[in-house]
Amino acid sequence: MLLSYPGRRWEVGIALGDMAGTDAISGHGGFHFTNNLAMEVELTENFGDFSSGRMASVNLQHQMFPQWRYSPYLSIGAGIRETSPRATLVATEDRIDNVASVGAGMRIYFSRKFLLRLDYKHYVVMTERDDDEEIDEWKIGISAFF
Amino acid sequence: MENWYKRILLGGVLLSAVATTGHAQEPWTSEQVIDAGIDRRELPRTAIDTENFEVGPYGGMLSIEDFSSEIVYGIRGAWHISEHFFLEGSYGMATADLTSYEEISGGAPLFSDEERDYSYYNFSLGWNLLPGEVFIFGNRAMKSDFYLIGGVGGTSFLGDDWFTVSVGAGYRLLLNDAIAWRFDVRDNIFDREAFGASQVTNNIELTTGLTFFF
Repeated sequence: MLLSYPGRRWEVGIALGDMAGTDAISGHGGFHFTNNLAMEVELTENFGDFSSGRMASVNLQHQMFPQWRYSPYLSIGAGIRETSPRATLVATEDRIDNVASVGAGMRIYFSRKFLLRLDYKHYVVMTERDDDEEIDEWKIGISAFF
Repeated sequence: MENWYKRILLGGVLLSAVATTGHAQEPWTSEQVIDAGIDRRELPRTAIDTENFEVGPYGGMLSIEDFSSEIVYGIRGAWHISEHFFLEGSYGMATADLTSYEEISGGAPLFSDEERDYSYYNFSLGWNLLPGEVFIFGNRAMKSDFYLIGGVGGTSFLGDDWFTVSVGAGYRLLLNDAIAWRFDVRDNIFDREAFGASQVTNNIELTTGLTFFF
């Protein structure tokens, strides 16, 4: 049954999780070039006590064993992030930084076109300060094939 | 003597076998003795068929906590995974007026006009809890669903963005194969710190709209 998965090309989905202690929501859409390799565009918004942010990134994903029902993958990505400190904080400005990420995850296939995704990413936010900021993100999401 | 008996008996068995086979090979025919005289009715099949995607605009009222109730409008799109479940995304906008305090005190406004723009999005999972049919125009049956829906999203309001949980219920009436009329009640719940202390706010919206299946 699961052998039909590698033939599917387009995937969209949503995910929910934690990004450095803040609530994060994301939507993703991807194209599978081969059974192993996919490119994905991801839009994420996170909501923290002191700031919120939006991020757009492009990720390259590699599935080592695409025929497995529990299929692990590795990913690398790059993108752009806008961070907006809370309006209640004094004299702060929105800032835009570049981000790069490395991650790993697991696809768990439920049915012919429906799957669960567990996703971990480690981001490096290239700020204008002396030190880059490093962020961990954990998410759980659902995806569908078209 | 014995052989003679055997020949007769075997001959009889063979004859009966041939006769039975011959009978089985005759074409079986029957005539209808009584004609019931029933005219078969042709039933038109206008059932809801294969459209799984639903998209459409909506409008209604949004009660913003600590502010007045305002007109809200937006757009939503859904993907029907099965007969029972659907995933939905929506985006809506409203503009908040003065707070009760601002109205009573008559002083300088607490927020700029830009900060009063309220916009939100959410991704939800819906469950068609009570599927049914209604008969509004005589014999015409219209498919309906009462559904429960819940999800997460974000709200931009008072210059900040807030993580929002939305829960609610709705009613979908399929006018024909491709058009549905929807009524929705949602509570958009988010933790707001605009007045200093953190405060959980319930922002209830009541909307209606047409959606199109494709």
